Amino acid sequence: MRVFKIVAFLLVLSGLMLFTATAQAPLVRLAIPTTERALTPYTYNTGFPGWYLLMLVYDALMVTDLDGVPRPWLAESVRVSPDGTVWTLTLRPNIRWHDGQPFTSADVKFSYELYQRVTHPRFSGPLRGVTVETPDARTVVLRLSAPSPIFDLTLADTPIVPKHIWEKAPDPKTFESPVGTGPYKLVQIVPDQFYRLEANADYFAGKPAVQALVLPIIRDATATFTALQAGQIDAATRTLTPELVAQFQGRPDIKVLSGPGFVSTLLLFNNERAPFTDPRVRRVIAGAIDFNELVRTILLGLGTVGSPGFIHPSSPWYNQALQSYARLTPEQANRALDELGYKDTNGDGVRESSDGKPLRFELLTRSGDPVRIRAAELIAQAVKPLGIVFDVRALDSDTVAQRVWPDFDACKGRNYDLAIWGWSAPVMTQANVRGLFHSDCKLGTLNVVGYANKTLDGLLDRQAQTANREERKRLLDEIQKIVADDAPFLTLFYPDLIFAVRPAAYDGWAFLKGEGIIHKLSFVKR
Amino acid sequence: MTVKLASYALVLLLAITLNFLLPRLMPGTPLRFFVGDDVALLSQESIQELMAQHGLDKPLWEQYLRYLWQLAQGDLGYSYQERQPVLTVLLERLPWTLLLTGTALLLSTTIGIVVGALAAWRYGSAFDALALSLFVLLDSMPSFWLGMILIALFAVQLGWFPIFGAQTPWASLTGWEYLLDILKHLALPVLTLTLTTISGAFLVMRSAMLGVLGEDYIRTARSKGVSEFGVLYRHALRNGLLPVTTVFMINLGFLVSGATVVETVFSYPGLGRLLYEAVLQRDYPLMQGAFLLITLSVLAANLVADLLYSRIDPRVRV
Repeated sequence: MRVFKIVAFLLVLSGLMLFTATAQAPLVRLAIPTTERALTPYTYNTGFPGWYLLMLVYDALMVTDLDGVPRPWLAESVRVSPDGTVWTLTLRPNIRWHDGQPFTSADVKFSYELYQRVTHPRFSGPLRGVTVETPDARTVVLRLSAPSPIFDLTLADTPIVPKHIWEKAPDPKTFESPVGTGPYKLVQIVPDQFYRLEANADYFAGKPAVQALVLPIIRDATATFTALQAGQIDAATRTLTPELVAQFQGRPDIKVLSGPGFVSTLLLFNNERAPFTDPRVRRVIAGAIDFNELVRTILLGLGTVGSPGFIHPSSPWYNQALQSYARLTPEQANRALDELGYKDTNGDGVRESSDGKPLRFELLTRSGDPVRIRAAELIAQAVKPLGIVFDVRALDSDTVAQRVWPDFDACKGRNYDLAIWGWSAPVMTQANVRGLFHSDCKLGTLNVVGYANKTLDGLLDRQAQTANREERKRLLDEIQKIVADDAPFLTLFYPDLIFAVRPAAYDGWAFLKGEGIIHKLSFVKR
Repeated sequence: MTVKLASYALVLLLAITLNFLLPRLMPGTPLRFFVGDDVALLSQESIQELMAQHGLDKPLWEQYLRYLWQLAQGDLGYSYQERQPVLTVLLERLPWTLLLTGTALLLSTTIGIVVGALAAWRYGSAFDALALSLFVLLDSMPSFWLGMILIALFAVQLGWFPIFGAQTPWASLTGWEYLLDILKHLALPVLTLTLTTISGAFLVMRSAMLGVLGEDYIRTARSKGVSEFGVLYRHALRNGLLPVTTVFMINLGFLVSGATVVETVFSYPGLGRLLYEAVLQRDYPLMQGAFLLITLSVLAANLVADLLYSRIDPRVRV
């Protein structure tokens, strides 16, 4: 009898637990570091977390799954013509805007043409030369002026706004409207203090897993994590630094979620300044650096060693066959430099080039970023035994940017020897190799090292115009091999993305490869 | 009086010009900040279009004339980072800042005056030594550090106060509960700001009182049998207040510039932090607007002080 009671008790208990596990979490307080203004496509502020928060209120035609591969979302099917220039999408039926109006192909046409008409830093560029036709309310036909291998990413990136509201907007750049089709409705903004989102119960992909999402703005990193520890917030978009991880991992009430991050940390060589014009010199420096050691000491192991081809090993575009840089012993490195004609002729411990200039260079890095400053210091130490001096200069980040990438225009040249630099996640997600490596500064908009390789240029153009994913993968493999060999810059590492959350409030976070836990699929289960 | 007003107008014009020039002399462009991290995704055409949209492709003198013209019409322009009219942005933050810095200024001045007067009266006593060393110690503490200590103690350990913000974001409170919520959020930032600024009023009051207490008329008052309390509050304090008034008026002018560090530590939505971020983000219109507001309030406080002095000290005539 007693056994029966215990079994019955356990049954009830497990039933209760099951119930609580599937029930919607009532409230999650997710701290963000800065304002996202009115949280519309034209007013959100940051790439991360801003765009991801925007996409809780708005939807795109496609969505990237947890592996970063786009799949249909507002559209239920996406067909591409064999030459890759005509994309035909059928929209999901019965979707409604937050104000109850039906969503149709007219909204898609309006939105895309809006981004074409009113320049948006992120959404306008990829839609250049795209024409939109709407044969009926559920069909959208997009014609591209040239095939693009990553147009599906554009479809997943571009939020659709309601035509019936935005066509009345006097100035889209400052227009404020909370109406989207997304899983969350924007119900309250208190400027500089917080945002309040409520679940859209009629969401086409199912009721969101959290009923109310409050986003308090906490600027200070220490205050953010103190508030998390004290239970005043449940999660933060701010990532944990490696030093903080141990402190959080020991706590039963906090869960640490981590995974690969697509933000890269690089050592830039000015390819137009001797001796960095010579790939052999760049390779000797690469050989002197212990990349594993950088990850171990600076990131406490919480990161991935940089691939010589730039592309992150977790990216679908990564070339598996790539070899890391050949490590050189001090003797080998010194011999290599001797053979290249760099000798210490005056015995001061620093080599000189044939025209007598000492191998002493300035290594720029931004102040206030301890990870990068440490990387710079370790690299300077690594090259010192070779008779090369890197003087580390930590400058205000704008000053560094102005010298490396004046006015964000690669055509305006550059004024530095060496710099620690980094590119944000979209560069990796899109595998924007043409931007990074093309010698024509109009195409190589991110080529801040002034790298030029004519053979590579041809491959870069071809991969940017192929419609075929396999073909692009093959070309990218080849490109990564050439880049690894030329070493125009060194990809040092990619820090892991580490988040801390309180599972008692909500435990359904999903890690999107390279991008983290702050995105639509953490709240919509499909 | 006309000369005085003319000099105020000249100072104002100079300040406006400097407010316009200084932000533009800093390295870097605001471009990164109306674009955000996505600057890596931009084409050159988009960059030029964006610069043109904000009128930043024009020569400096043209931008300056446009700014003056707009200002004359009462238009402070649009903030890049907030995408809202600068005036709206400033007015949203102003009440919070005044609540924080105003309360702290009143508290620190009152405490400084009372304790400073007592310390001077009991000059050299244990009380004087204790007050002096305590306030100097507090003054030398960085406010972010003191703020964090207070957070650790009162918000984390004891759980009496919230850690961040000016109100509880997820509670829709009304009436007394709302007021209580605001006060709870205000407590630690005000405490931090008050503690770190008391020493100003205290030191000025103490030394002024020391001077006054040595004057002949005090001895006269004492010798004619006025009680110690009467000497202190009827005779000495009134005259000792003059320098404190000066300090108070100066501080009053800077009330609107907020308390950047305290506002950051407590994520308080004030003007100090707003200005700090405007500087970081090269938000020219917002910087101009905030500087203008500060200029105006400093000038106004000066004017009030000028007028007030002739009242409280008949020796000064405007």
